[in-house]
Amino acid sequence: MFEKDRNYWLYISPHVYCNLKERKALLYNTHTGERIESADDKILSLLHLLHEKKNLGAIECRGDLLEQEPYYSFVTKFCEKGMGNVVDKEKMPERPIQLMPVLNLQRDVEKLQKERDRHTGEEILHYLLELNVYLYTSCEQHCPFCNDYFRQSLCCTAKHSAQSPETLDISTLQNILLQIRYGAVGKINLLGGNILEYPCYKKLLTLLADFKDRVRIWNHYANFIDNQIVTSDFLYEVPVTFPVDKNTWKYCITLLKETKVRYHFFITRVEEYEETSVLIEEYGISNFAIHPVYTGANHPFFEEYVYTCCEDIFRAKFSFRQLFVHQKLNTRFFGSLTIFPDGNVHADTHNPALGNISTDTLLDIINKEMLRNTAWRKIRDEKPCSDCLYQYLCPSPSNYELAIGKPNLCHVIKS
Amino acid sequence: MGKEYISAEDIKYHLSNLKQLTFEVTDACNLNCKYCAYGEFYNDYDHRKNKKISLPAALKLIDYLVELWNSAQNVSANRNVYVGFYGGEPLLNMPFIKSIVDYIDNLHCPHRTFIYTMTTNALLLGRYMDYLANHDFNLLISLDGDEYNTSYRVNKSNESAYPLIIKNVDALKEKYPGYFMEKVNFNAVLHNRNSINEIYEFFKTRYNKIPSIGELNNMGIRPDKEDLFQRTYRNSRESLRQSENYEAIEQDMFMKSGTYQSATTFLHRYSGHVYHDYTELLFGQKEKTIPTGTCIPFGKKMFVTVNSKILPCEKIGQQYALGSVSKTSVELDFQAIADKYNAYYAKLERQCSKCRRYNSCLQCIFNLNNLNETPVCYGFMDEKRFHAYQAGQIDFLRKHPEEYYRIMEKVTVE
Repeated sequence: MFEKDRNYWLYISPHVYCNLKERKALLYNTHTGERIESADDKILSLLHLLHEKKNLGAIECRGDLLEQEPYYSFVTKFCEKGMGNVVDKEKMPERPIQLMPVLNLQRDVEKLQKERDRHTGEEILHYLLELNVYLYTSCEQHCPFCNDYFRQSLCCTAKHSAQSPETLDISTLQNILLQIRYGAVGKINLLGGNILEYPCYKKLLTLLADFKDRVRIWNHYANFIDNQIVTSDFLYEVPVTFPVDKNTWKYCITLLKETKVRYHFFITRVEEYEETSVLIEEYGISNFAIHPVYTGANHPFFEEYVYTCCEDIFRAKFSFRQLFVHQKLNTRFFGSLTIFPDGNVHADTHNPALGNISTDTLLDIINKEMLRNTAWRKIRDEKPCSDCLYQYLCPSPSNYELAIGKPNLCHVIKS
Repeated sequence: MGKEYISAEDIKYHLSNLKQLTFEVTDACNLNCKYCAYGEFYNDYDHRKNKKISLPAALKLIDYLVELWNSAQNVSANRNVYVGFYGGEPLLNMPFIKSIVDYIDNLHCPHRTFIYTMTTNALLLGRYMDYLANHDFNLLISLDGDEYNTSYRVNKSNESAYPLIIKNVDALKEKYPGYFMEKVNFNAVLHNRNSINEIYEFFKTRYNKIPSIGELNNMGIRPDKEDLFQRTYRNSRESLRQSENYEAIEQDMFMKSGTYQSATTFLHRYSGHVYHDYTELLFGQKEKTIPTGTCIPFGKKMFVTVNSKILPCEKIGQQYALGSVSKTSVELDFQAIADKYNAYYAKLERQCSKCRRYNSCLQCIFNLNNLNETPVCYGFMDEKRFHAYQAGQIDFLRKHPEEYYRIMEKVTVE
């Protein structure tokens, strides 16, 4: 394939993501999803050369070197998978430089902090994408893991504070809405307790008139009994916890039949998953989500059904932007703030409050989060993930990691 | 009604998030520079009458803007607003400057940090340097190099201004060395009595500074002065290439050199790896929808002339004023401004839609001839021209591969 006494350019295409660790390397073609992994020292050196700044993705190789193993097999596979190419230097005398994938995030917080005349708080209202507002903590249900659901996924709770019930003043909600009027908030989740019992619930309709496409009302399926105040203006998000009371469930399903609704099943074991499947099938539910819940006693369930394996990671194809995203921000948390009835605002319910809505503006709270990084920019940059080849292909860390107390919920760790 | 590229609401948004407010403090000047933008070459400015800007009108405008900066349309927890003083020679109207600084320092505007900037010829620097240093002014001093290089900068008696400028600048450096190092920069005009090399060497050697170097503005030239203008004008790229070590100079000038600015524009638009902020990274780059490379009105700055006209920039002809201010009111009709811009954009849309450089266009609409009739963009690029442009940028990166990383890793553009 290569003539021994000729010189060639070997270049790597800019759409190829390369993660070079001390003893292994991953090459991932963001156009096709194909990958090559190598632990060969010679190949690692070759890849290091391609990534040296002075080479800008292209190096000169002699044909006799390319004919030798392990280079020959590697380069053949590399070219076959569309990750780059080898060209005869006589046909292309000039270096085929490549615009290597170096992320340039203009408003990178760390970058802005170093600039003398810039601020991290510049144009940050656009970063707020989702608001979760707990209006009321009172609820008469006795869900077994009321204190856990909302810390792992978005869910109603009556357990946020010992001083139940708490109520967020309607004027505070009004003030919050004023602050986001010109922002980019696409989802406003209103939650309880039993939100239908919120003293000012009826006033919400008028207050939220300008935001109605963005409003989601969260209420446990069992709390719709004797509460028929439903409106087609909002989307209803309905948590379902186990065991499910069939009569109450049927009532809820019938009541919400004509409204926009999504059911959220919170499961702690495989039997509940099976029961969920039956409910979905039997009642023809098309809009739903299933959320595993870590209880402290169901680790094996998580290991078997929730932990990530290699196939899970590569089931999806990643664009380069997605890989950059995983290097800079947390896709689960970024843009989301949670406000509890006491006014405390959190970027993530596991972490301390960033401020209180009665004294701090949302802008200042967003800025605090950008600087403190309690959640929005948490990425997989700590061990063992930082040693893994799939570090930035893996989804962002979630609240499950925090609940379980383990930084990686996977069976992989390729280091 | 024509196509709406921008709306009245967009304009209000940009005012609520304005980055720079510049006052033309006076049209008077204590110099008589041959190439001055308000001088003999040009015909697109209001007649100079040694006027001073109205303080009550300026204060009215500040109040108007503060209301917007404190409104829900402000999207920053903190951002700098650069308050600039421009002339004529701004130091000829120091009472105005002091009043504005005093007023702004006492404003209630929790989400803004105000930074004062001034472009000066430095003739009165000896008298006012304490005030400027104490208020941390970003100072841009106009000086074209050594005595001969600066010889177009003359006083009213046609004598060289150089000795007094240098005396004042040296005194500033001596008295406030830290301030001088951090906040003082130079702005040189390139012409037929200097060169990029001479300007660079002068400032590097004497002040360890890299100056900004601008060419003479070639818009609005009086027809009878065209010949003289052409004899005085020098192209910065050609001037640079004439110096032996131009690559080293360019490398040191970095973002103050046209080559690096051009490479940065190219990489920012075409590398695919540049994102403005975290939301753009999360959701992807937005498609460009507005023809030309013109800034959205007040997207970068607001310029207020000595005659109380409001313009989007000091670099464009004053016939394009967007409003005015008096001591009693600010006249800015957002809808009328949007309509005006939309009509201009519509005129260019056909050309722009066929231009291969559409995505990286820097052409300001107000620098096109015949804007009110049938404007023609001379920066238009067909496939062949674009290919040559692209090849030029790639060639630069091929010769300077490490500069690719320098640009990608270091350059931020607000």
